[in-house]
Amino acid sequence: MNRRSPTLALVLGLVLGGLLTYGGLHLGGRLAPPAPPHPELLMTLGQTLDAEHHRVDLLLDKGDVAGAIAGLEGLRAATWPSAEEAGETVVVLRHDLYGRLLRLRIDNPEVDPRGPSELLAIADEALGAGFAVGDVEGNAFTARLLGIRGELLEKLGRDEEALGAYEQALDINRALLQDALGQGGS
Amino acid sequence: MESTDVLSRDRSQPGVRALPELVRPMNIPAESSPCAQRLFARRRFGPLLWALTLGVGLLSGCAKKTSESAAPEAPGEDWGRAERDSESSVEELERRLGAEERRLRSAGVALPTGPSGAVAGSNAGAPSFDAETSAGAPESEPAAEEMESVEDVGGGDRGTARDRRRCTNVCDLSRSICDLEAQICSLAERHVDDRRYSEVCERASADCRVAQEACNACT
Repeated sequence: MNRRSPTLALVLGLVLGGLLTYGGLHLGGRLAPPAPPHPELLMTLGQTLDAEHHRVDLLLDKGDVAGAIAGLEGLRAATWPSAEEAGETVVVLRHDLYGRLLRLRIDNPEVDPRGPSELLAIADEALGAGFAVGDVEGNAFTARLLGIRGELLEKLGRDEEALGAYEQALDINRALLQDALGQGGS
Repeated sequence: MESTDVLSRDRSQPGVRALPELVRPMNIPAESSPCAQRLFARRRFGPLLWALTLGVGLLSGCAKKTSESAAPEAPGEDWGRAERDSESSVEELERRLGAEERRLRSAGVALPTGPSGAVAGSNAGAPSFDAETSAGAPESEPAAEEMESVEDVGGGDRGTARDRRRCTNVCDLSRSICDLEAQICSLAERHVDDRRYSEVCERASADCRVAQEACNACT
């Protein structure tokens, strides 16, 4: 036992040192995922989307729903940077734009009419094939988009899938609420 | 000189041989027993090893903290430096600012889309991130509300503004959750024979209740 003690102390020291190093790096934010190679693309996209949102607000204030939808469709048709290039926030911004566009289209079916199938295709285009909630950090835009997707599925009589989409949206919102309440408690 | 004499005297006295082991200098006599050498090494280097590993761990961890906390309150200065620095510095700043934005936003602070806004713009597609949080929520809130909260923050009443934003956030989430609950339970009414629908409805109702209580308590 005594012979092992120095070795044991060394091993324990190394393990403890490793754990402390990991903890220190984690607290220091060094273990965060690497920054995207082109963050400037994200900035540009964010500013463009912001400007478009403000423009759509103005158009809606004037009652120009068709113009608002056309504006959002224009941005939808633009070439978007990938998440690999500009970071995961691109996905969130995408869900923001598509969510607003779909909401406008659902609430104003008389403007440039599209059927539920077409709108569902737009929602799926935003989410991407094989989307899972864990793919994106929980956020209100994704939750809204999933809720809208549930609505569209329900309209198409696909109730089972609709329930799944609603559940996903509910799960995200529940987590966001817990976060918000946690912030208040701290 | 005297102490050396004492040591040499001690060595010659069997009854006190253990004592010098503790104070023996680093050059242990070659004739010492292996057991004594191990004991010495452990006592001598054991704490040193522990201290070293602890020190390395703490230093490497704290190094980043220190560099980050160097000028967190001077974003303008940081941005000025970033322009001069390499691209990696810009990325680092982007990452840090993004993290800071997320922290502020989750605390209920509406971020401006102004000057430092290049990065704020990364979320700027969310002019009403807090207000328009919902699945099934209506249109984006006008920018006026955002500007108002920014003025509040700038006006020094940070705590109140933050609390108000947090409450808005909680109540918007509450509305979204209750909207979803209505949709889910309406769906469940059409599937009374399927237990899963009713279970999800019950859970959504419980969520809605909790969310409403949180909103009421907040306001």
